[in-house]
Amino acid sequence: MTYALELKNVTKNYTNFTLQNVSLVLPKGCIMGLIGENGAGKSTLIKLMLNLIQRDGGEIDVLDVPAEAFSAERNAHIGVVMDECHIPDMLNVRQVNQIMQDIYPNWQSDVFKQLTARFGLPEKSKIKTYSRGMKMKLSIAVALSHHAQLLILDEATSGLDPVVRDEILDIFLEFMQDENHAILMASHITSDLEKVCDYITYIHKGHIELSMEKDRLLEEYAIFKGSEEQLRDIAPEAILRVRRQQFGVEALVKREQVNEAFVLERPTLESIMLFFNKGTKQ
Amino acid sequence: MKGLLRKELLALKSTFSILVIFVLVYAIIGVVGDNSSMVSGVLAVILMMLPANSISYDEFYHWDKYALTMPISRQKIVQSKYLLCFLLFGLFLVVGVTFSGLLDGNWADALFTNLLVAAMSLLMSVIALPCMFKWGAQRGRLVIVMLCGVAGSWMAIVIISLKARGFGGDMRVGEMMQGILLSDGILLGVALIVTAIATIISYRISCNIYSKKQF
Repeated sequence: MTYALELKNVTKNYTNFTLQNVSLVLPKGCIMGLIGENGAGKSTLIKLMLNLIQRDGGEIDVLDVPAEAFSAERNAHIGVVMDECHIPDMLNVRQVNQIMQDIYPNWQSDVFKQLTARFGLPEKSKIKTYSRGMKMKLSIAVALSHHAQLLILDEATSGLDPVVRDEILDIFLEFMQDENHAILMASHITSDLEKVCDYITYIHKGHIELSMEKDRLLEEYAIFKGSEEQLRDIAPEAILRVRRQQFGVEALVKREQVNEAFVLERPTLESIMLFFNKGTKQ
Repeated sequence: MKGLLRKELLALKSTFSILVIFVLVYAIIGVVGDNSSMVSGVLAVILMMLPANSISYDEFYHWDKYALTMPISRQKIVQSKYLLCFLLFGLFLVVGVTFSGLLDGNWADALFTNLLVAAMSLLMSVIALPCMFKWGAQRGRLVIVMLCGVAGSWMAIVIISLKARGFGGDMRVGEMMQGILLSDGILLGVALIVTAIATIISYRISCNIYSKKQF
């Protein structure tokens, strides 16, 4: 299996935060959702992949090229959408098209024009007149207009209304029709990730808590709701996290290791994230 | 590189239109006062300040962080700022020499004066560029202001001490300054060589700083 992204024991130290021994792979043909609370290390991880910051240890390969080695050919095949639009806002869509045409050897002017028209971005208006959602759409249009093989999206759908988000998720799924394509998508909107992702990686305080196939995750994990007494009847090794509340307890458990007599609920990505973030081990 | 330069020029387009008005106003003042150095003075300020403005815009939009995800190396981003300086240097010469030549009728003098002032302005810019890459545009601007202050003060000290020793007779300080600057081609030659060497050193320092910069 070939990987679009491969990280081995990646470490980055800051004064108040450490990204420790992060290892993960994103196979080609797959979408990986990167979830985690604010400050968990998602953006740091993305910056390391893009060589915007220097790591303190480990290895990162992006499209089979080490992240730290500049490769114009590799970068030409990466589409990046960050949490904000970083294109100077005194420009308009037509000028952005001209600039990108000169920057990307594989720029598809027609695709860009089609996407900006589809997103309803006025060609001659300055970007400064756009709403936040429109600016994000422009960044997405740029990322999708140069034969990218890998999309790295950092909160790309934040600030967009549900209808537009749905439309953009459809575009990402269209992009994935090519089996050599891959998407890494960091987002707080876990419902979006549930819709489109094949893999989920959950990062918490600089550690990867879990990284696995989304369907397996949602099938293997389950939520138990009951009393303390009932919880004691569940094998301790089946319990991943517990949240104690006023009227009982909730636990994130491994479905297969829990007796069928217990009623278990299917978890959501959001609930799993909350268990890891707020729950205790026992 | 073409794309980066296009972006620089398009992003600075709105500033350009204001600067054109400034140049025109100073050109009119120059024509009325029969002083061709007015336009050269404004062009010198533009040459020193526009690269700082360009870096300032990039900082504001976090453009570099985005550009580095494209097929653009860190070296190319540094190069684009130096190329912008050279473009402004060329623009300075064309506009400055044309204006001075038309006003004074002495094209050799016009070329000499404008080349000297443009070289000195370019020198200030290339000294400030590594500082801007390291500490940001705001501090880089301060470096330019300080350099201008130091250069002006040094020149004034030289003139005043020369006058105290009886040089220059009844000439005014300004006339003496002009006399020294335009004395012969040696000064211009030295200025051009110093600027060229400073540009090479500055470029290497900037590349080094930028290669380690984290975003």
